[in-house]
Amino acid sequence: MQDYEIVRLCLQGRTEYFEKLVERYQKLVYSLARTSLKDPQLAEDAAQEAFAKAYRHLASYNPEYRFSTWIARITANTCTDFMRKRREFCPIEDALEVSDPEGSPERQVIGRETKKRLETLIEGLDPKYRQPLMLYHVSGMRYEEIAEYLKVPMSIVKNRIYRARKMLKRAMED
Amino acid sequence: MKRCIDAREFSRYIDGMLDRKSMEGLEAHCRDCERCARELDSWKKLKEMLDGVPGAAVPEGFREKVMSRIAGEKILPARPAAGPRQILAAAILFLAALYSMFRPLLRPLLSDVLSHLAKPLSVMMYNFLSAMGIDPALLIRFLGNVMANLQELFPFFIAGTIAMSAVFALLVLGERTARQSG
Repeated sequence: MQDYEIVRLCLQGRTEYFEKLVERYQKLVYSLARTSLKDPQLAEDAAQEAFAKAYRHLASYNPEYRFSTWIARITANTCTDFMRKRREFCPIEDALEVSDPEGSPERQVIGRETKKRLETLIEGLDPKYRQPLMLYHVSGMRYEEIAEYLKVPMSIVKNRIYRARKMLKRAMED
Repeated sequence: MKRCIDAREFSRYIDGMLDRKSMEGLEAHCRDCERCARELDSWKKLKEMLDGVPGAAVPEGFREKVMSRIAGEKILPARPAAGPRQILAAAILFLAALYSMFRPLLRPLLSDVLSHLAKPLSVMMYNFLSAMGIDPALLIRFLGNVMANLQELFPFFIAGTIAMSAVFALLVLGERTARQSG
């Protein structure tokens, strides 16, 4: 079922369908909140608040745009509000340092030191390269979604992700 | 052997953005070219590492928490988009604010522009009145009288302004009612 169909059902009173949208976009919303806010609990609160805001303003959603970019924009604004309240800015490495205790098998394969080095290198990237890279690999957004979210042409997104990877690859090989 | 693979091509390959033909061509080339095979391997490893960067593991029970949080919430009615009247009102306010900010600079400029515009109009009016056989001096005298008795005419100006504001308010209210019912 398409996002706009779910939205339409919610607006018709079948609000239980909103759960499908939460399920689809929880990773995106949480990872965006997590990379903006230092405290994991605060990030969770912000992510919940973003979904609550999206729910309240569901009637204002324009189906001409992707739901992912709409909710990503709401999340970014919510995080800004949270940061303003707390005056707590998060360096990217803090967001990256969260370790997954279980971890997928592929994550376990990656050596701890290599991982740490990659995190440091990502942190050292220019934000204009780091942001689309993180949105792609961590938040799981697609190129078109990133372009819509960052309000830049898709060619720029592709180029920045490519250049970010190239810089990381070269630095990792040194 | 075909030319070696470009780094951008590898980046597109790991994203799965190459078409079937290009993808098969790349893989075939890497089977023959050791250098490109190594390169492909390192691009794949990089993607694996980047995908493995933590920070996106959603806390347990997140979805349930969101659903229980919105249980008491209501979906608000859609916010109406700004209509042409609101945009016009905003533009007038903006221009008024701009004028009040730069009044000392703008006033002489505006009076210059107005006098330049008024000159041909007054010539046209003079010619028109002369052509109609009316003495233009009569009109000038009439306007002079109006200016001299401005205080007596003031209540009429006020009444006119109130009447115009009322008509405008009725128009706005009428449009809003029509939008709500539609």
